[in-house]
Amino acid sequence: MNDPTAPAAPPVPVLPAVRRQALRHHLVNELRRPVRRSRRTLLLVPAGVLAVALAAGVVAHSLAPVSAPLVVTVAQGDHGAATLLLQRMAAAATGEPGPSTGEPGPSTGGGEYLYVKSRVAYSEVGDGPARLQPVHEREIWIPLFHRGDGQVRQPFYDVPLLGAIPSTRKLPDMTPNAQVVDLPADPDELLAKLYQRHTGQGNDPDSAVFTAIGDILRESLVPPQIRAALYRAAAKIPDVEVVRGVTDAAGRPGIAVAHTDRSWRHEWIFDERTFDYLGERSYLVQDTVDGPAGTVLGMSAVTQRAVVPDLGARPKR
Amino acid sequence: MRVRIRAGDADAFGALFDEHADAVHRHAVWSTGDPAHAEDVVSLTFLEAWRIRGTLHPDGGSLRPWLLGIATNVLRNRRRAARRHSDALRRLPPRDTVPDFADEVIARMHDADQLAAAVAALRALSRADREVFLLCVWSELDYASAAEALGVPVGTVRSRLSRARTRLRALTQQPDSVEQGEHR
Repeated sequence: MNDPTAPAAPPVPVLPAVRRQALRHHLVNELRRPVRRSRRTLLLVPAGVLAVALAAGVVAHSLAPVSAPLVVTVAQGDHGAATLLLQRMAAAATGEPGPSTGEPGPSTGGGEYLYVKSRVAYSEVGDGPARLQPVHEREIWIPLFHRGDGQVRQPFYDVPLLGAIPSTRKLPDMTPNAQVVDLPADPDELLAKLYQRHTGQGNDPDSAVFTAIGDILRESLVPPQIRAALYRAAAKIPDVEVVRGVTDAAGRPGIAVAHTDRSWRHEWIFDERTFDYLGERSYLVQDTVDGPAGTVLGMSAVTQRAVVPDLGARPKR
Repeated sequence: MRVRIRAGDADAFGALFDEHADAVHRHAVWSTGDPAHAEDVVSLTFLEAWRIRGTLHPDGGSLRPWLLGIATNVLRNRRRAARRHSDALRRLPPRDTVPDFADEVIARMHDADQLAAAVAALRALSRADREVFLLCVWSELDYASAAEALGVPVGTVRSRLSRARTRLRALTQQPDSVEQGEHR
């Protein structure tokens, strides 16, 4: 059916795996809606009973992952401190190369893939209070320099299984790390570029840009100059604030740079002394249909970042 | 599979989603040029499939033509489908609760221009011709499957496709006549 004169099918970015899972979960919930009514009331009973009830639910509905709402304290954000903190983080990123940033330097030792290991949990929303998945391990391999295949290993909760067993999926046609971090080192230029890219997509531009910077920081290897520029650019986003006394998905304490979009607060969590990137957290700051204020929508903790020679290889440690 | 789908087995629909959601999503992006709306089309297509599952013929091969046919109907009248499933759509998880991983985000920006140009070129076709072109050429259904998806005779698929190709060829040879300009 190929016709050289007809326009070729343009590439369509695949639905992100997590989003795809959310849509699937929504679909199956909708189809089961009448029988699910009674289960929702179980969420009002005490936690111990709830655990048993949910476990029983798993037997009855083998597709439902063992998930329960997690509610954290919503601490007051400090807007005034954000600029200072981000400036200090930027200075630390460029001032002390090597260990202080916790990042391997630009030398990659001939490796071809970035390996990032993290502990993550995301919530399922759309049917009563958001239920957080159990915290689970995620490992990803991203090509460093050339567009091509990467892969991810994590449990996929959309598969009917007893217990969550990690499985590996190929990530075709990935943008290499080098291209992800190919950004202006000047914070103003960087910020202008991000606003240009992310305006007019239906989201609030400030939170879209905050999210974009978080996306770049999450699973990548960022050169110190660009890391500093990202922090300095973040400092210029209106309403960025500092939240103290937070913990990542691995339970490590840290300090967060946060932004709130309507009822959701998104946090990037850093070690308070070294400013190492620890992870992320997002939660509701108001009561909504997805749950009361403090309901966690997602959290992560990056536990290892390394350069490895091959797809699927793990760093020696 | 068809028997389980007809019987209203939710697990079978989950499996159907796993197998075909990406194809429906691609088809919707190509039709609308808009990835955000395309997600709604995916949800609406499967909700519609559930609603009309009783009309599915128990014998037959892949369910992709059936789903792409439903998607085509949803795309023709999205408002009607959205009204029919408005409660379900209200419960659709908001897009931002799960992070977009950087590789996916950057790839999206990269591909957006190419997509816009190709979609603009297809706007020069009539709706009927465009639907056939999308199903046969980009979604790679054979003539019989496209005919099944659209509920028209195979001969009609052939003639519409031939007209679509002629028109596209004429447009690519005379760039001035392409209203959107950009496309080669």
